[in-house]
Amino acid sequence: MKTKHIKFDIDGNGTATLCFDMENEKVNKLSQDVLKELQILLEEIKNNKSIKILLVTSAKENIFIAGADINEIKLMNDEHDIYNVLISIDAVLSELEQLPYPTVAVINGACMGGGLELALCCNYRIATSATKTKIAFPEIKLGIFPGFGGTQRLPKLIGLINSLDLILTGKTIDAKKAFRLGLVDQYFMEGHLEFKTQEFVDAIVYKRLKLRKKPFKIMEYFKFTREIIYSKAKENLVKKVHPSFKGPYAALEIIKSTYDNNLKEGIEKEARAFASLAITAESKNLIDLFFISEEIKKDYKNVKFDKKIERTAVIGGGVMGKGIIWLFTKYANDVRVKLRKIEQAKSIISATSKLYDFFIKTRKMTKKQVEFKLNRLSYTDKFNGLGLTDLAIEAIVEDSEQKIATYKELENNLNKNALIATNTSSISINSLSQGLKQKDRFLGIHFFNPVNKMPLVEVIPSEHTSEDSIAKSFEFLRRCGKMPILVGDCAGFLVNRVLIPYINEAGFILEDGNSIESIDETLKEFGMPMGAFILADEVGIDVGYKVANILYESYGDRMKVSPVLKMVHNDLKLLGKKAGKGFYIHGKKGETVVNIDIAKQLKSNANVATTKEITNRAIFIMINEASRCLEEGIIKKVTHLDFAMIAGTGFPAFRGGLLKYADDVGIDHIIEKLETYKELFGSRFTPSDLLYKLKENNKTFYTGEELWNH
Amino acid sequence: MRERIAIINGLRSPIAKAYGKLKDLEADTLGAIIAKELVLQIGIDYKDYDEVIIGNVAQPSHASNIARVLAIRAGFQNSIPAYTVHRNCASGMESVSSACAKINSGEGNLYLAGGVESMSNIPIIYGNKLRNLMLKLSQQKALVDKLNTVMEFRPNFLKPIIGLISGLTDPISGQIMGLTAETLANEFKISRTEQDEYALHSHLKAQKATEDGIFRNEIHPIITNNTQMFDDDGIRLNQTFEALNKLRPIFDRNAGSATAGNSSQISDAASMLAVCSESYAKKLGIKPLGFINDFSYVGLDAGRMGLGPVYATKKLFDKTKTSLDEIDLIELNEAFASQVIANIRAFESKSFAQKHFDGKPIGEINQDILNVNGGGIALGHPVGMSGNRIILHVLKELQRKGLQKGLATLCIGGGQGAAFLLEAE
Repeated sequence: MKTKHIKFDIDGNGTATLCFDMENEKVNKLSQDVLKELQILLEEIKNNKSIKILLVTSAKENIFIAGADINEIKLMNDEHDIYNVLISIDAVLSELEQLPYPTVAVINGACMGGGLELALCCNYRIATSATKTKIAFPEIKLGIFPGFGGTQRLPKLIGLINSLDLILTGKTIDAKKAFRLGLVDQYFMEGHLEFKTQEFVDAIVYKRLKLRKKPFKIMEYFKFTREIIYSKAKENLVKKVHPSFKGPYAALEIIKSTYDNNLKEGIEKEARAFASLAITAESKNLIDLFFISEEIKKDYKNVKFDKKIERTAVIGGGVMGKGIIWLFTKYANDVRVKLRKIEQAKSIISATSKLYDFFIKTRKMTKKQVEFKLNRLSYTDKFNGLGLTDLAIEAIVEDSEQKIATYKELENNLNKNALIATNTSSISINSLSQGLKQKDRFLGIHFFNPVNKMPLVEVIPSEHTSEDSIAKSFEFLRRCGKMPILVGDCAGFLVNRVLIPYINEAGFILEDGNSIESIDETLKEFGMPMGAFILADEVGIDVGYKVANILYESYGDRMKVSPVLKMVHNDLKLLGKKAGKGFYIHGKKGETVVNIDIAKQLKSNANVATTKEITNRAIFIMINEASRCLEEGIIKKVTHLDFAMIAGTGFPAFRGGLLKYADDVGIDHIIEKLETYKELFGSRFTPSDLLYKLKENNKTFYTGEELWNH
Repeated sequence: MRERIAIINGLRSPIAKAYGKLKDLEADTLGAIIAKELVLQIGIDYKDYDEVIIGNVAQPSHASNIARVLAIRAGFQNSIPAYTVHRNCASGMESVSSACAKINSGEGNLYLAGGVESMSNIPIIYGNKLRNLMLKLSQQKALVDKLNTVMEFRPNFLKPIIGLISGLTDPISGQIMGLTAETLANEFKISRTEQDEYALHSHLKAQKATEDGIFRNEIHPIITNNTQMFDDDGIRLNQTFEALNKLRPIFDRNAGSATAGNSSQISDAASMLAVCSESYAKKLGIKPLGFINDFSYVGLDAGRMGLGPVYATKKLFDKTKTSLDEIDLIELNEAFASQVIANIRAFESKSFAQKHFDGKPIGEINQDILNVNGGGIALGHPVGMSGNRIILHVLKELQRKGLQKGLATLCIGGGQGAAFLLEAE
């Protein structure tokens, strides 16, 4: 048979190879087409007596098999159909598993999801220690779990505890770790691939192979000890995963309930559970987001520019400055730190080195490697030593005059190709660029706090910024492991502009007679990673208050700062977590208790809101502001906006994003509620023109792009 | 020398008393901070440097060829080679003269030449007996053999060899450096009082220079996550003659005159110079800090190694046809007070010249231009770094005072001397 995606070959010694090489694709996927081909090939070769051993390999440079075709999963909406498809795929994989001769998966590249499930159907797995060899079950991130027998075969191979760890978290492991777990039988350097594979083959064929004995796992031997494992795993999930995010809970349940089943029963149960999960809105949302993030990763990728950013400078050593300095020591060749006083350097270096502790503890880096990273940092209190810098980022106080003075100094000391960026969170980039001689190389690069954890970076060009400068920044930020997103110039840019009304609204709700705990708890139940007040504490009440005021000055009454925030900042003079006290009292070990001083200051109102009303007020006011951002062209695509809110604020991904949620709730309903709240609580709830336009045209945010993109 | 060599600029760390503020920094890390800062301040791309040459005496065991480790830490690309030079106390000068030689041979244009020393980190070594025991132990398989070997252990195997002390002991004469100072004190009849007075002035001058911020022109502060240091900390503030005079001699407890107070201190520090040909500097349009006219090295009796500067300067001046009165500033390293005084006497002594040279003494040193801001006695003497520092300091002072010619000279353990003729314009 002539095949397109899988090549079969057999040499004179009886060593046969199934080599995956998907046509017209950069990666191998287990699409329906590929699986059909596999089925036919297996049928052909299963009785081939000249085959002594079969190798499963890949011809792709960096990939073994990347997994199932997510697009196909996305398009399937019928539970029964999905079940049938899975059962037919399982049948193909079982064929592979039952071949009469030994089979070896040769893994040199990413082996993910379905690819790993295929490898589990081979008798043996060998892998290279190259960094491109990554092994994982990432399904959980898409709201589903391994559906081609992964939940069945993995526990049998590597035990319950290790399997749960891989399947419930979706984490990626390398060949060395996989070998330690017993997931692969041997690993070796990529350069030795050919002859090590031959050695392995010979060992099997001539029956010289000695495999390691599987360790006896006492915790998994008894039913009651297994129960302990399950309940521990459940406990961990409840702590970390929102109950609406069903994937991991379902995966745990299926592993638990099929432990004693035979393979066939187990696989059927797995397929049934998978099918019911795959049709949920949560899973579809997560899959959509996956594609959105892939699309965002391509932004500005094709714009060519001369020289990559290698040497950097950071002006300012506040909270943001420290985070950026750490990031740049990790990913750039050089970080020149310009401080007001040289004495600040010590605290900055120790903050930077502390952020590396995690990497040492988790053995991702050695002490020596961290030392070399820290050596990249140099410190000064003058604008000197900047001649070699490719990117200088300013992160000083939010004060236009001081910032503009800084740019003057930078212009005098940088080479003419260097970019100048500001990490301002609220001042207009256009206004900041006014005094510059060379405006095309200036732009906003807005990181989020904490820089080491938040993937989102808003990139804000002024009207003079060159494409070249934007592309250079995008490329560099991606190298730093960040997700840059292009945002228009306005006060607060995108994320803060949409988020501050949320914090503000929580303040108004509090004033109405609700408690800090109940508001925060409600918002967490909705899926926000933290309540509005604890978020205010994390950000720093002084910072939040300052930004809120800048937004108020820019947008007027609808962004009026809530009196509670004003009182906490001006009267109680609380700063939030960094000073140990804000809306909450923060203990040394991270524990928090509500600060009762705040309730004491409030008039006793009795307008207690329902949880529904709390969520609606806080979320709908964000939707309203987000729709204005679309209207004003601050961001072009609704998908990008949704992605930014998820990556920048932790808006629950399983809801698909802020405006996806709006679409799901219904534009009419949102307008109706906003109008009601306008009557009750004030004009800040006045629905945006875009919302009315969507309603008139019977469109949603995801279908009505022509209504704002002219 | 064919072409004049330009020093584009230089920087050094503060000099820390050993086992003090910089004790947790290995020499490579300490040197890297200064090297990086200097490269960035000069602003010529790392990749334009032809090589990094570093002088270092007590080469740390974790960084053999310390220059390479230092260069990578400082941000030099893998493609820039680096090597370490060792000429004892002149190691920091040897890196500079090596660069000069390479430039003049046409091998390259631009070099980073430095000197680093972390005397705090000189290890304590256990002797060969213990090593042999451990070796034997690791080679034996049977438990019985191992036990037998363990029984051979004797407590004196643990008697450490203090690396610092053996390093400061002359390998040829077997004398610890301090005893060579006593030899000179004897030969030149230098009293304890004279030595203490000299030491006192070293401290007072260094204190004044620090207070006036003169060293800030050449110091880049060392700041890490657990220490920070802005100024030299070896200077004993408001030192008095009485306090110095109370100290007991350390090398010869009874008949000696060298004390901890009138000897140089053991210290940690780094110093770096960017070195290129005069024409290269011109091509780049850079105004250098100053120039090296020429240099000389000499050898002499190890037991009188302190006189190295006399021999080296004589050779240098003869070669360049320079006379002492042309010199505006002199840095003559202070290993010991008696050693400096011996040199002053030998410089002007006719009989010394008759005995050792052509009969013509070098001349009388004007003490107002000698070690104007103190030396090793007050600031410390991080052996591999000092040579580099005195070149840097002479050039910085010539520039600051608008003077033209300077001499940087030092004595070298093992019986050598070095002298550099420096120029501002």
